[in-house]
Amino acid sequence: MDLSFELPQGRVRPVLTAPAKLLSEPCPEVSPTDPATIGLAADLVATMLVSPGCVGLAANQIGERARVFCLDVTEHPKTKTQHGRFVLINPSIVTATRKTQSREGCMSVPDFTGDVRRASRLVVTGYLPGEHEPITITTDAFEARAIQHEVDHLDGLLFLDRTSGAHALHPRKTYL
Amino acid sequence: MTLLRGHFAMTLIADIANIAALKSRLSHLDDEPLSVLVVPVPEAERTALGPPQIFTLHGSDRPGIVQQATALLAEFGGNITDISTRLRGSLYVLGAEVEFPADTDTSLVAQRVDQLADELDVVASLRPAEEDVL
Ligand SMILES: [Zn+2]
Repeated sequence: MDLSFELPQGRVRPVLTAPAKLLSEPCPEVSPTDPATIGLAADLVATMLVSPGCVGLAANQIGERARVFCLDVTEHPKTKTQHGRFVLINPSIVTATRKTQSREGCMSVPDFTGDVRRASRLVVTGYLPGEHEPITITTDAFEARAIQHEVDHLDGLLFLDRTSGAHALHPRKTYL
Repeated sequence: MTLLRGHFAMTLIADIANIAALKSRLSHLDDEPLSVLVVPVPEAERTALGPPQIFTLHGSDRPGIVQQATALLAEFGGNITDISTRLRGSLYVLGAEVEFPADTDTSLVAQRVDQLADELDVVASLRPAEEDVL
């Protein structure tokens, strides 16, 4: 399935970090064809591209209350199925099965990583920018995990809310 | 063991025959910049326990968060079997495993956790620990 699309040149935006309030508030649905939504989609992609190691970004991470995220896991070694670089609007998880545990990080929680159990098989629906008809994405492995992480952001949840035990949080080493 | 704002802290539960002897052997530590407290632990009541729950909390660091969170869990007979706290910059994160008596309505506790989180202006949740039965 081809999810690629033409977007205007986006603006690189600052990324909010916890405990910023917006990160713990659910984002409302928006119109996939609204020029403001398409501008936001472009800003998300622009910001993701300049952020080293960033494989996805949700709208509230750049300060917008809108149910929109971008993703690109193509370069990640744990990726199996992948759909390239895409933006999904008003995403909704249909099925999530086969949970596995893995350690994940987040640009909005730069000092920690956490052990989180997530489904490794995922079906999600949503809209591409500018489209009137919803699409369904079926994926697995790292792309499935990344999508769940982003949808969590849009529901006002961080991986900190999903850690699997008292010792599931780890300080993130920074190598200079 | 943990570091609270740079202060080292540790709690141990031990079986000790002669508490007075232990206290006297620890008394020389009174001259050190160290507080040592030896207290008897009441005999635990043997109640049937429900499935373990995970309690997480994060937000801006402020005195009293741990005290109020643990007080709420204790109000429902919650026994914290494991806890860790971390602070980086202004972000405070707490993770704990808690066991409640088997007849506890944990959804009610979870509701009270939500309320407390609102009051403290933090994010907190209580949910069942996921276990893989192989
Ligand atoms: Zn994130």
